[in-house]
Amino acid sequence: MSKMKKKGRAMFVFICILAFIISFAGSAIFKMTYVSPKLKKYSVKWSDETGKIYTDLSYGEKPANKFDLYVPKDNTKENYGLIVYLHAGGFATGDKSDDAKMLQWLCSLGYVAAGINYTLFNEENSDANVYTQSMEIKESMPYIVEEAKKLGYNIDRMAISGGSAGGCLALIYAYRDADTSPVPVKMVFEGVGPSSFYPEDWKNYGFDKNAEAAAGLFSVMTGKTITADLFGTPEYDELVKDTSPLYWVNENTVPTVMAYGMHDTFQPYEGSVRLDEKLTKYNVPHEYIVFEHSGHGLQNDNKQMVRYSEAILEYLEKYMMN
Amino acid sequence: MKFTQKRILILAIVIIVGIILGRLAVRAVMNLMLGGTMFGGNIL
Repeated sequence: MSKMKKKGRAMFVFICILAFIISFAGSAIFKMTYVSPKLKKYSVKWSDETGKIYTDLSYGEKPANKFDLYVPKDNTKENYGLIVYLHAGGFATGDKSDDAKMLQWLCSLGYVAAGINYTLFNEENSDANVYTQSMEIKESMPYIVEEAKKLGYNIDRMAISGGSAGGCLALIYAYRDADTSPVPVKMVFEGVGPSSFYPEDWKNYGFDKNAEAAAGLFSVMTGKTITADLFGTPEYDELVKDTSPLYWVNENTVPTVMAYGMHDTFQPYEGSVRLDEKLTKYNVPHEYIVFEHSGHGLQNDNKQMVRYSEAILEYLEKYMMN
Repeated sequence: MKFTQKRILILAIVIIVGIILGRLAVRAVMNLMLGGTMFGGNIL
């Protein structure tokens, strides 16, 4: 082959490699950053015309006992609904500021929205667990209602929501603590929050085959001393009851919208099936939206995300409208 | 097919494969972290 032809072929191969790298990288970046136009409807471009944000208001003595309040610009109504959104993070990480976009959107719908921090489980706070966190959320509510009132927004009803760990805590508040809430809890919506601690459900952690490991993690999560021999006994149910939303479901449970990924590796999808079954058994109005191709991030089913968002709006309209 | 046309076709295929693999790579990484399927639901 002549030198010219060889050079030409080498140049073409180089162009192909370059084209592949650019199209690969461009496609990857596009996938990571693209938001479907169908989902843009469920967000808002925040400005002073939408409302005002008050950050790091205190509800307790611990460093993490802080909440953010998002209040709508229109402060002329007699009463407002409050929507609390609790952050994710495996009970060990996360912050209320992670959910700024969600809280802004909820506020833009005319509600007072609140994000609440709770003491996370870490080296510094090794005693923190799902129970103590749920009690901090419970403690915070009167402070949030009071602060909203001081700002001119009288709260007469509320919804609570969250994602993952926040979803679990939202369910606990709605199902366990609604009776002691300073304002009536009208509904709960959440995504991928664990709702029970049956070791046979937690297959991703191998707990269906390793009861000791299950007992170890569940002890840390609940703050109770759990041993493997307790599984399946009424004593175990009593120990985990305070941190298991499933156990609190009855005919008075508030309407629920919940979203779960079928391939969740962080918390068991099977737990959501149990929750759906129990809510159905007690005729609790609820929407159980399964993301058939997604995991913990609900990341592969935009159609279902639209359905979840529409269900939230439908339930807010039905149960939270004044 | 002319030589140039052949090269353009090859280049087009390389770009399309790059685009598809780029999307699949992101999906694969997300699925590795969070769980999920490689196909179904959203396009790639």
